[in-house]
Amino acid sequence: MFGLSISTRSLRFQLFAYSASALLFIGLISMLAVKRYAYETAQFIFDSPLANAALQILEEVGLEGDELSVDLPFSAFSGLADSPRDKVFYLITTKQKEFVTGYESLLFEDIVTSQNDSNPLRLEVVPHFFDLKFKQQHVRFSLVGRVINTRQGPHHVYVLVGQTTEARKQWEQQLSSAAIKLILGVVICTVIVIIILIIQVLKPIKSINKKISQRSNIDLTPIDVEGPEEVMHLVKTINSFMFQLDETLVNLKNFTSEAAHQLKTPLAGMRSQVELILSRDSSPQTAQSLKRVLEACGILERTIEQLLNHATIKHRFRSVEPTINNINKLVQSVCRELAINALKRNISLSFQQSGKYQIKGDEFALKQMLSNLIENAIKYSPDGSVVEVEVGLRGTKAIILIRDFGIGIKDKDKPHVFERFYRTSENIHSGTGLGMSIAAEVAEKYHARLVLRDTEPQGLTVEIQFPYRKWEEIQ
Amino acid sequence: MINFRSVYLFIVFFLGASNALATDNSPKTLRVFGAAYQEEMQPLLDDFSMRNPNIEIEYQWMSSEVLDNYIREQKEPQPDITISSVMHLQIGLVNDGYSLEHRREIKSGESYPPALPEWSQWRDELFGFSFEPAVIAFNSSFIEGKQVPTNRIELLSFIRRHSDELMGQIGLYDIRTVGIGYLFWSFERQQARNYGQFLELFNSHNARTFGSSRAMLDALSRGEISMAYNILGSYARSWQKLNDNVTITTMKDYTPVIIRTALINKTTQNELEAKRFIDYLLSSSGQWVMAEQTNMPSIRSDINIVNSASYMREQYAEELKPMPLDVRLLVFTDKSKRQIVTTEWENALKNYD
Repeated sequence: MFGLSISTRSLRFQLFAYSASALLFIGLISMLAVKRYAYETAQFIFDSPLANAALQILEEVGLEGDELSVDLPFSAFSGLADSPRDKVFYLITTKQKEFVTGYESLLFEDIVTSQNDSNPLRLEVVPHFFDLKFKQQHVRFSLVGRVINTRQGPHHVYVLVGQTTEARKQWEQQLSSAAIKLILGVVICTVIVIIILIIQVLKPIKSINKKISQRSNIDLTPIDVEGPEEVMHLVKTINSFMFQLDETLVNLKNFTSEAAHQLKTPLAGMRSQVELILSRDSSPQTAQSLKRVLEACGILERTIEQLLNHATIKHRFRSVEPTINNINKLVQSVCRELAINALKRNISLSFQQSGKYQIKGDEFALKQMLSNLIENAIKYSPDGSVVEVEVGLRGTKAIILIRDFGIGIKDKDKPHVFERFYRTSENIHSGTGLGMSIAAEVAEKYHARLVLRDTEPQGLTVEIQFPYRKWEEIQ
Repeated sequence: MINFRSVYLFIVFFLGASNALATDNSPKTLRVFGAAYQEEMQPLLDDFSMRNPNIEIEYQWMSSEVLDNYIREQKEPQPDITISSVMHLQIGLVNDGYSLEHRREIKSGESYPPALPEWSQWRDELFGFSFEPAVIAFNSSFIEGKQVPTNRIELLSFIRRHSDELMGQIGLYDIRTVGIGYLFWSFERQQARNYGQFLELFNSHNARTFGSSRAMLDALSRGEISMAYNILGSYARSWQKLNDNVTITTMKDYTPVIIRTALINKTTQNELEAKRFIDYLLSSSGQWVMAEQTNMPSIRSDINIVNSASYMREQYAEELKPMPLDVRLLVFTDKSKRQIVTTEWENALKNYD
């Protein structure tokens, strides 16, 4: 159940992560594109007045006597004045790099001369543009040129007009920041739409999850959910899986009980045969051996029984609905069942109660836990002693105490007592090594703790503690 | 030993403290070079000195062309502030990077639109502080009993009508040496359609040229000339206050207006004081002093008395032709253009030299 909810969450995360990164990528690409576009538009918009200024000046270049001269029209830089903070630089020169007027230092810039050389004059004047670092400023230049015929022959005249790029950059920035805001808006809207879509798409899965988690864990009937096609496939698969599980459980139950029967019957036969031989006369050695065989039979029977019980408990956990059990009554009935057994060895079994409570769980399993623990206590008590069983409440905990005055368990063995088939080294009693582990398993199932303590002056006290909220007091 | 040390420390501390005090309080000298007569600027300089007793102003007059060359050739000592009414030269200096940027902080509580109009400054480097029209001045005894011309067509016929009286009696700036004269002349050359007729008339009347406004006004009031064409209004009015034999008129068809500007020189060592001077020049108090005590009209839009830009702009909206304080004026700095204009002017006026 838990695993399913993680996978649901991660699916949502995955969908979101994939779409968000795709969006981010698209956003970045479009931002780059917008920047580029803004740059190109700025160039286009601001280049044309620059070219216009150069062309206006070029128109006015003429001969004054034998010298080239130009009467700059007042409107020459009108278009450039629209950029309120930008400076203007210009130069009028010839192919022979003669200085006519303007900023003479421009003549010494390599790019100016190379631009002049690389742009052959045509009949139609075509402006060229280039960038230059001039007087520590970034300046964009336009270059136009034409041929003026004079008495000395044709003159190639070039006009360069340059402008710093503050307005251009500002405009570019405004354009791109507006576009970037727009892109961000679109991305945010898309993210919202994606989140809504993800929630919508995953709704049926969530409802399956809810239905399954609401079921009791032994309910293996088919799930009934209406959903889109894709989800119905999933439901169908789960249902068929649950059907198979159900069938397997039934088979397993049959198998365990059958196996136990099949083992018990020949064992009972064997025991009766051995007893029959023993009842007849036989040599003392034979009798001794046969008694050992009988003892072994007893252990075997007990082991089979414990295994069967264990299997039954496990099976019941999965297949039987838990019920409310009155612990006081349960402990009392177990004690009553075991009292005869104890009396055989002159051990008295006392029962006390200082509180009444009930627990939700499987009665068979709880009974097994209690009888295993009490049986153990009896087994390790010396003849004629007492085993005390106590039910009560302590603070937020509900407890069951089983106290014996036997040999006790050494501290180094305590952690291993609940392991399967574990037996302490100096144990002289016959046992299966299964009882304690079954008890521990049942306790764990009901969130109870098994605490081992030494009894004063000698012996073992087993305390079963049910934590807060796992029990209910009976008034 | 300990005593000696503490005394030593005390002396060091005392010296340090007195040093710090000295640097804070020692009077700084702010060099202001202007193409404006010192008498025109004096009320402003006095008021500034009163407000800033630690800043001593050393004002020096230079003709605009000389001043321009002085800065371009980086002669010593360089001014901290340069003031001139010759806009194209000032624009040229800023364009060529001789000025320092001064972004004036807009004080909270200042009205919007700001009192200093956008057209009054360029690049936060060139600050216009007065708005001055060009006028035509007559000798009062000459104009007496005559119809005062109010536009250029009337002026042309006025000159023709009084041709004999005006022979050798028309005064003009020598545009070769007077920057403002060149600016007015070349601006008019681009703007006025009857520029050619004026050139023709000035030629035929042997117009006299003068190397400064003051020389021309002096000649006018002494009766050496009867008419001064396109003279800077503020000087003419100042002169009129002292000599009441001058009559001033403006041309209703169009009156060129220049903006007198100040810039902080890039080479300044007293940046803080220079900025304080510019701030004062543009401040409400500075502009009020200027509007009330000088003949330079204030440029602030929140000052609306007769001697102010906002009053003139309202009253004579149709006749004023302010020169733009931006790169458009750069064409007048062009050497080739200057050559052409000057040659044209010399051919017309100086054929008898």
